[in-house]
Amino acid sequence: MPIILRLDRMMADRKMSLNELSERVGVANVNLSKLKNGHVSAIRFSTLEAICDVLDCQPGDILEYKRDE
Amino acid sequence: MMNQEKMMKTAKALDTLFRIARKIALIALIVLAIAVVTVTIVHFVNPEATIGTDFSSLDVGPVTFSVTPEAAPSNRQVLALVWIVFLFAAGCGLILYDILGRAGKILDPMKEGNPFHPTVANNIRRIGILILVLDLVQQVTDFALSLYANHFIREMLPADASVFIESNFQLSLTGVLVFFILLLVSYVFQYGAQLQQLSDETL
Repeated sequence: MPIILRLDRMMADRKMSLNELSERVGVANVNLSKLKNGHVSAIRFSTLEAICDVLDCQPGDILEYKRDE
Repeated sequence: MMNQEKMMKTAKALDTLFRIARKIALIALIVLAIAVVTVTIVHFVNPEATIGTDFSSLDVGPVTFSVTPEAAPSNRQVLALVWIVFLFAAGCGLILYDILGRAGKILDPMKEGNPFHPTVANNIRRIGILILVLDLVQQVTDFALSLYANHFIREMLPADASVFIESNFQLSLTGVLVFFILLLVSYVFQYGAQLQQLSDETL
C-alpha cells in the first residue's frame, strides 16, 4: 500500500514506548503493533485524533504517501 | 447486541436440530441398505419367497398400477426395481446428508456471533447447487421410472390387453428457484464478509 505509517519514528522522537502509547490512546497493544507495521487497511479519524493528541503531532507527521514504482 | 444474542441462540438450536436430522438420515440410509441386502439374500436363498405382501397394487416411482395376482411381476423383476429405486434413494440420501452437514457449517460462525464469514457464503452456494442437483436427479429419475414402469407393465400384460397407465410425473421448477435464491443470498453474505474484513482491519 502506498500509505506508510511513520508511527515508530514519532514514538522515538517523543521517547514513548508502544505500551505507554497503547495505554494513553486506549487501543490494544496488539492492534497498535499492527498499525505500526502497516498490517491494517484503514484507520478511523477518532483513532488518528487520539494518537495525534498523545504524540502532540499532525496526521501528516505519522502518515506518508509513497508512489508505487 | 440483542439481535446478535438472538442469532447465536437460534443458530445453536438449529445446529442441534441439523445434527439430529443428519444422524436420522444416516440411520435411515443404513436401515434401507440392510433391508435391501436382506431381501436380496432371502431371494437367492429361497427364490420362491414373496417379496412384500401384496402386489396387486404396486408403486413404481411416480407410477401406481394394479394387476391381478396372476399377472403380478416375478420376484426377480421386483428385486431389480427395488435395487434401482434403492440406488437412487441412496444417492439422494447422501446429497441430503451433505446438505445438512453444510447447513451445520453455516451455523458455526453464527454461533460465535459472526455471520459474515467467507465459509458461510461458500456453503450457501454449495447447498444451492446440491439442492438443484437433488431436484434434477429426482425429476429425471421420476421421468425415467415412469417410462420404465410403463414399458414394464405393457410387457407383462398380454399384447392385446387394453391398459390405462396413470403417470404422476410433474415437472417442477422449485429446485431451480431455490438455487437462484440461495445464489443471491450467498452473494449478499460474500459482500457482508468483505465488509466484515474491512471493519476488522480498521483501527
